[in-house]
Amino acid sequence: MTETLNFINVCRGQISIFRKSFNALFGRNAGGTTLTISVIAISLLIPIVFYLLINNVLVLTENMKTGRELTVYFKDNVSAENASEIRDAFSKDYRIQEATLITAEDAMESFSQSLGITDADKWLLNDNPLPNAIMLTPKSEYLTESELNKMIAEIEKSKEVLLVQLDKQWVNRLNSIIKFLNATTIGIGCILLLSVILSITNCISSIIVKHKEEIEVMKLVGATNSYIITPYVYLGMWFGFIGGAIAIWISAIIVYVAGTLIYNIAESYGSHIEIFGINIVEIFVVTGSSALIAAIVAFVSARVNIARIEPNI
Amino acid sequence: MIEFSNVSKIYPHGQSSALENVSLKIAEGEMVFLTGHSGAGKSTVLRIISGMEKVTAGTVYFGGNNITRLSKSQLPYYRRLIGMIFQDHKLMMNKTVAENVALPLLIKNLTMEEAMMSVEHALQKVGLLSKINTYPLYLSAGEQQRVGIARAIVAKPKVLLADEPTGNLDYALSQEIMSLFLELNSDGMTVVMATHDLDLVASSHKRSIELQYGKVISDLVI
Repeated sequence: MTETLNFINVCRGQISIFRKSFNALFGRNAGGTTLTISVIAISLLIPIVFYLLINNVLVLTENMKTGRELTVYFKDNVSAENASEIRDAFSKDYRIQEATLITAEDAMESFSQSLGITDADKWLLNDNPLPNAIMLTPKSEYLTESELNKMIAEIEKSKEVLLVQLDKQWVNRLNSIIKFLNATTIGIGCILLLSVILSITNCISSIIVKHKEEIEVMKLVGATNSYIITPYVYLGMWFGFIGGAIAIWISAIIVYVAGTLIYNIAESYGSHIEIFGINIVEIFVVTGSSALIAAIVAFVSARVNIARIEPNI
Repeated sequence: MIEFSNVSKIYPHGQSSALENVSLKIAEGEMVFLTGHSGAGKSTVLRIISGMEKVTAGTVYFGGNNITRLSKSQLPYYRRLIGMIFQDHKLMMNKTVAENVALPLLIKNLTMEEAMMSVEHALQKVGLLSKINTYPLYLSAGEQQRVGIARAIVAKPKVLLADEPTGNLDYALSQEIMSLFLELNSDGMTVVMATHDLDLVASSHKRSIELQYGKVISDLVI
């Protein structure tokens, strides 16, 4: 019973300290805390923007079919019916998003139109030299060089296949861009994390220096270091949470503005592009992790600084 | 209650000893003055009792326990047994009188509401209940000192240590504060007070330990 009461008292005490630490954000240290929260917000905003950029690029490329296809050309002895059966088999392959049959007749029609050959001129071509073909669109997760090479090697083994063609250059470029963006995001994120750590450390240290006399008195009356440190840990947590929330809010504005502009541009070209922002799970991850990291940094900084303060009479 | 056994204290880079082979005993419920000129070692004795200083040699006992071996983690809990009063009060100016006095209770995870009864009782004892929501900045020197005393007694410590509590006060206020200490002592509180005001010591008729250059030169009841 006593232990339960003690536990309840401890919880109530912690809730009180937690609330007071929020009020402390806007007290006499308002300038320093505002600056620190701003640094955290900007430090989080840049990686969030890069992350959204990468995600939207991946989604856009998912929807863009040009340049992602494998074109499988069949030998002359493969009829359109045979090609159709092979197309059906490819449609069931787990790596393939779409398989489209292009018969020799379809190919000739398209070819003629592109060259401006009229029906009256077609008699010049005795036979249709074009083969039946299938256009395969792999799923985005199988667009890596190794997967594509593996797919091409498998298809080329088939006795019906004459040739498999792929615009590798486009795929390689896309993969390189995405790798670059990923590496840049991580690199910038690490540098900004360092700036966040330094900013929080500096802010907590300066607040503790301002409270030096108060801390001395607390130690004199028997306050433990953990009791003294706790408000600063909660303060750090608030820094991280609010900084993260601001970063998300600004990223939402950026997505809205950029999305509107891109949508209008795409519409003028007869296309439809939608930009995606941060989802609810990602919001929790960003605010939660920034609050946690900030709390840890605040704990370390407070512990070091408070240990240096000893009461004096 | 408190026992010094051949205690010496030499500060780093010090030319002489702050305390040299000091032995004394203070019983529970006693009121003892530590007197002597500036630098005699009075404050050093209080600092050692409160755990602010480690001894260079010797042993100090508090309630039968050797406090010279206290670890850093044990020190806060030991300090809760002691109430300290300072010449410069050491009040938190940005907190009310109630919040200042409640501090020794808040650190034990009591809420302000739970501490209020004890706070009001302590303030009533020192005659400052009417100032409970005032900020120390708006109090006189004597009132600030009484708030310091209220804070020292609110958690019912085993001993009160006072370092020159009347040092910044005029004679009348000093008498007022001294009366308060005598009253607390008569209630059973052990009081150890460092002072250079011999008039106050003389008027109290209590035990006085005189220090000179870190040594006890006299120990008698005036």
